[in-house]
Amino acid sequence: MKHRTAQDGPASPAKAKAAADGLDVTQENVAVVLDTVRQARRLAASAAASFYGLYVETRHRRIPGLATVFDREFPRTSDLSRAICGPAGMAWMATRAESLAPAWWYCETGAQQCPAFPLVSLGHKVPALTPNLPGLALPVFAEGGIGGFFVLAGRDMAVDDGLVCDLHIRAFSLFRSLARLRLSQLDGTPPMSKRELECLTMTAEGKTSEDIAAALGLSVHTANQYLATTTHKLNAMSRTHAVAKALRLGLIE
Amino acid sequence: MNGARQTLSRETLAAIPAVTTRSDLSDCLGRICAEAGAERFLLLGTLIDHGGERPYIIASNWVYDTVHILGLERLARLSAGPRTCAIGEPAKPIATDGDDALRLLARHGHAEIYCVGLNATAQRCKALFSSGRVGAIDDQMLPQAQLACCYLLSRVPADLLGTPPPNSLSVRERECLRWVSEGKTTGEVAMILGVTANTVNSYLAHAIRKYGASNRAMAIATAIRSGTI
Repeated sequence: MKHRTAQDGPASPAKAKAAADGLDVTQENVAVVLDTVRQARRLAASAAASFYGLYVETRHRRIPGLATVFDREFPRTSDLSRAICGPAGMAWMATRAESLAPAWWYCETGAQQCPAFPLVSLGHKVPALTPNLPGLALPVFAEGGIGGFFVLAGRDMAVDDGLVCDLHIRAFSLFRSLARLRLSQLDGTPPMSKRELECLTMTAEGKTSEDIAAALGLSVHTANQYLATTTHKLNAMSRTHAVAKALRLGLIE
Repeated sequence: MNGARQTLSRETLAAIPAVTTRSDLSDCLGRICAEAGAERFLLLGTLIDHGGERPYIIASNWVYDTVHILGLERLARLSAGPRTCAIGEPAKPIATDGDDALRLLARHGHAEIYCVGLNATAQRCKALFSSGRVGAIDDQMLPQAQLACCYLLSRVPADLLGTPPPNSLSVRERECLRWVSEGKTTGEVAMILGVTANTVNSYLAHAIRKYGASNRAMAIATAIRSGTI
């Protein structure tokens, strides 16, 4: 049974829209996605960037990499996004776990060296993705271990340290509002009851069914029943798997 | 709040990549702290062992007595989960809801305290910014200070942040834990890694012992929380 987890993220903008449409079919969710795209456009404008894109890490596929949530050509996907979703994105991902520093690149050929970033001392330089197009990748994350990148690029891009900080914070809130949306949808997982979450939390603390039953004043059978329901609801193979999924989805802390 | 947004000064931001020593770290934090309108900072690291989390102080300009009187345990409770502002969230001070630790701190010159999360590295750090006067800290500036701290943590060598998490897992142990966390059984993991089921169990047992966990579920929870898998 193939099951989409929140980390998988939509692979294309069309799917992003489908995700917003299909799961929690409220007008509100579609509005959030569209609002995020609008915010991204404003962000790009304040850095004089011609390109923007948001990418989410998909660590649970066979080959981890970045997937496009949307970019400037929303609802289609641009060539630059395809480059980002290749090995370049994998290299960024490898550093995100250890560093929140922005990554930037520019083209070194020709007389114009680093025209866009004379004032950036933060972050680190990475290999250019396309010739003649300087860019900036801001690592972002949200609850439940979901990570991604917000990318700005453009020939006339002009940023300094202060602006990078400002853009980064705005990119964070943008990513969080989108991540919250997808978490609440949880690919159709039914909502968990308070008791079920309690049992799951205690299991994550290493408690056995007997311990849980004693602590919550239930019978062992009932505690097991709660855990069986959560495992089923999360479409998990075992209790341990359910704990791992719940933690990654941010259902428990 | 439109028009030009406030950011930290260029000098402070430029100082971040230059941090190499412990005193640079304190200086830089002091500058960030001052620009946010705060008087005192305290950078907290978290050690994960025996399935629990133990805080330790990486850098601070608190009066030593205050930390001593308060104690690390109360400090940890003060900065616990929901009281920490994540990056990208509006900054909120820790509410003075009749908490005795907060009353104690208020008497020691910390009338208002903000706790911000710094999940820049695999190690989850937090920073407390405080001031003796309520309202002195600029809550528009605080997210900038928070991000600057994250950049700082991303830059500095690990040994400046104090003790690294103990008992780090071997590559094989981590692999086993990751597969089990994906719902694979011991037999399946053995097949994937090309070893016997007994070997897999032994890797898992080592991982459980290193974390001081009582079973697989707890070991996996600890590993996910600490960002190991």
